[in-house]
Amino acid sequence: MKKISLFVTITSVAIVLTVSAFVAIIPHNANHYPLVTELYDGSANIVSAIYLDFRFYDTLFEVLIFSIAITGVSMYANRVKESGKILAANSPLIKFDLLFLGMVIILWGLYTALIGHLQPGGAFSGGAITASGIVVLTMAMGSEKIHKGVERFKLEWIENSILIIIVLYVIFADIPSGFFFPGFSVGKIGDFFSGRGALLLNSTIGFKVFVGGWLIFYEFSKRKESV
Amino acid sequence: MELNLFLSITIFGIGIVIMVLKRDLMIKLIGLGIVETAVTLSFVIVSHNGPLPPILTLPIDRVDPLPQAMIITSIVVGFAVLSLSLVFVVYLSSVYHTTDSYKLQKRIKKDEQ
Repeated sequence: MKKISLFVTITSVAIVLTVSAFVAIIPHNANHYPLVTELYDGSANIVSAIYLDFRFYDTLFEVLIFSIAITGVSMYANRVKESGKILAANSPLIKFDLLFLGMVIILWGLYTALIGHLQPGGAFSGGAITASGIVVLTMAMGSEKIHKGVERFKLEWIENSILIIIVLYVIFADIPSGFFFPGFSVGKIGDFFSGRGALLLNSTIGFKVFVGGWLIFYEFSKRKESV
Repeated sequence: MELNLFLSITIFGIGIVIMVLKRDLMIKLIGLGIVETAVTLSFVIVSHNGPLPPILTLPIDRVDPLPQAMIITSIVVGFAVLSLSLVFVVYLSSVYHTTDSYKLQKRIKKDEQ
């Protein structure tokens, strides 16, 4: 068995090496997307223009997969009995530090999501940063206090209703002959109000990813020790 | 020769080997994470065209924007799949008190009889 695995490893490494000797990646200047972005979209960030405008259907179904996964997580987590919680930090100094750090991380995530069409960043990364700020806040204040917000704000409902906004945007705004004519609110490159629907979509999708990350963390933190 | 691409393929192979050979479900999921990271890395290598990010106001030495837009989808779907499969592992371990796939198979068979 060991001889066979050694043989397989050596042959596969040899095959990959010979193949990669013939592969050459030719550097090319990012084809037509910069030009099209400058003419029809107006975002400074070309990646944001691609995934919020030219290939928006990709993003739509990606968001759908994300919310289906969150629904599945909360459905199957309900079958496991709740055990354990995360306690608050004991020392007041550490508690203050964690609170401060958590607030800074949340603000940073909001900024990253909102300015996604002007600089590297965007809805998904901003939402993930904001959700990790919630994790730091939980270490400071304990899981019970933080997670009261999930029930109070009915986060699952909010998370699913944001989908409706995105679908409405697809129906009325993304089709060129629809509600928003082509060239609607393109703006000047580098301005805050530019990039067609980038501001609306970055804030809604960012908020959705933030809520989704919070919900997943909420379900897992209630079931710390399951065995 | 593209050594970077070769390295990313090697990392992909390490992830596959971990997923096939290890018996613990948690370690299998870690292997899945390694595979996803290798795919992301290969896309980054393919799109590398210069040191600058894909911002219009910067000079032309910037990376290719299309693979970067694709990889955002890949990362989010990977996160969703990982969290969903983690919930399944938690549920299985709460019922059968193990994460070892061989033992799980035996105990499930015993339950069915």
